[in-house]
Amino acid sequence: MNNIMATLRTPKGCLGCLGLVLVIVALFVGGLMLGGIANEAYQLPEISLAAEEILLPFNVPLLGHSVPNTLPATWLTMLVLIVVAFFATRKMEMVPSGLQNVVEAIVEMFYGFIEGVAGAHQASIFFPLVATFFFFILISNWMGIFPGFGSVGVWAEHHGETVLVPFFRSANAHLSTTIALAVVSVGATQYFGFNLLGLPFLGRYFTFKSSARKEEGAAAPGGLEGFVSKLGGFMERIANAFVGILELISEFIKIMSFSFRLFGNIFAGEVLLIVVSFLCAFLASLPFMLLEIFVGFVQALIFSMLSLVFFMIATAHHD
Amino acid sequence: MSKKYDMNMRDVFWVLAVGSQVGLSIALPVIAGLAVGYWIDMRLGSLPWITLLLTLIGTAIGPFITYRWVISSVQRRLERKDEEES
Repeated sequence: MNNIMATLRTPKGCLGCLGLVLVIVALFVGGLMLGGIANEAYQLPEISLAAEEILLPFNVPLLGHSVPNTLPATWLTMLVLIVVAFFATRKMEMVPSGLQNVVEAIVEMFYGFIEGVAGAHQASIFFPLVATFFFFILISNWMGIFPGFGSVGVWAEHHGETVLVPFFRSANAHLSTTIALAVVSVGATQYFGFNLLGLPFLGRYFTFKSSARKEEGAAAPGGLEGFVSKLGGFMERIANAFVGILELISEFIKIMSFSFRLFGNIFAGEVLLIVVSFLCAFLASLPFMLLEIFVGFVQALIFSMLSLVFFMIATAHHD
Repeated sequence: MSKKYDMNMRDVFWVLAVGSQVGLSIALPVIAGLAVGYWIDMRLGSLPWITLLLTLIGTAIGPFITYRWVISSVQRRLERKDEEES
């Protein structure tokens, strides 16, 4: 660090610094001149909330003549994950080196993280699914800021206008992808609940029990007092049945909240990057890309973390 | 002078996750009620009434669901901490 500072103090270093600043300013000003602020003739590219459809020259069973452009991005994500997993586990060694070392370090870190939240026993059950969520969402979010995503495509007629249909669009910027992920997460919650608790798990949703504990050896009160206490117990049962229905509703709300949060964050990031790089051609979108890297990571972590919390709640013993 | 607690990222992200879920789970029942109510109203042609009713129900149960969820997840979390310490 001192070395760098000393170099910068020499005339040559000063000149270099000045040159760098000038280049940055020139790029920025040039970007502004070329961008949409200075040129009123430019139009903001079409931003579509739904994923655009890519027309195919042939017919795909079940899909028809077109696929949404998030599908290639999803396949690409899967390809990256599968290839990395394949090459990392091809020649397993006790003392890892190379790719195996990197992948092992990452997976171990994530496993430690989950173990800290869920405990050693539950972590081993939940880890595969939660880690899959994490890595899939992380990789597909980070892929969305690759060059070529959202910018390379074909011109197509859409509602009478010619718009650019990109070949790739970040997988989670498509509501169907995030809903699918959310359905898997909520479905797995039910599966783990049944698997670990058995039939009593259904009591969460359909219950007619009173939550008051019976006191041992207490004589049942008679007369008016007994009647009031029985009525109270009955009301409590009805209230509990109502709470069970609310739990059922909240499962569906969970699908919505999972999917909307992920979709909203990633789609907003895509739109932000498009708009910023439209307004200023170079450099201005750089800080926003850093922001997108951070947002992509946080959203992946939140999705897997919340899935884990829901799994833990579903498998908790009530006693 | 505030005391320095050693804070790990696990806690930070746990609070982040719970916080983001809480915000959404208050808002979403209202939207769900609105959407379902509007759909039913369109079907039956009784426009404002079922929409209003379901939106109000959504407004009422949103905070309730959130409260129950936060209580159970925090409880689960504290149980885990207990197990860890013992």
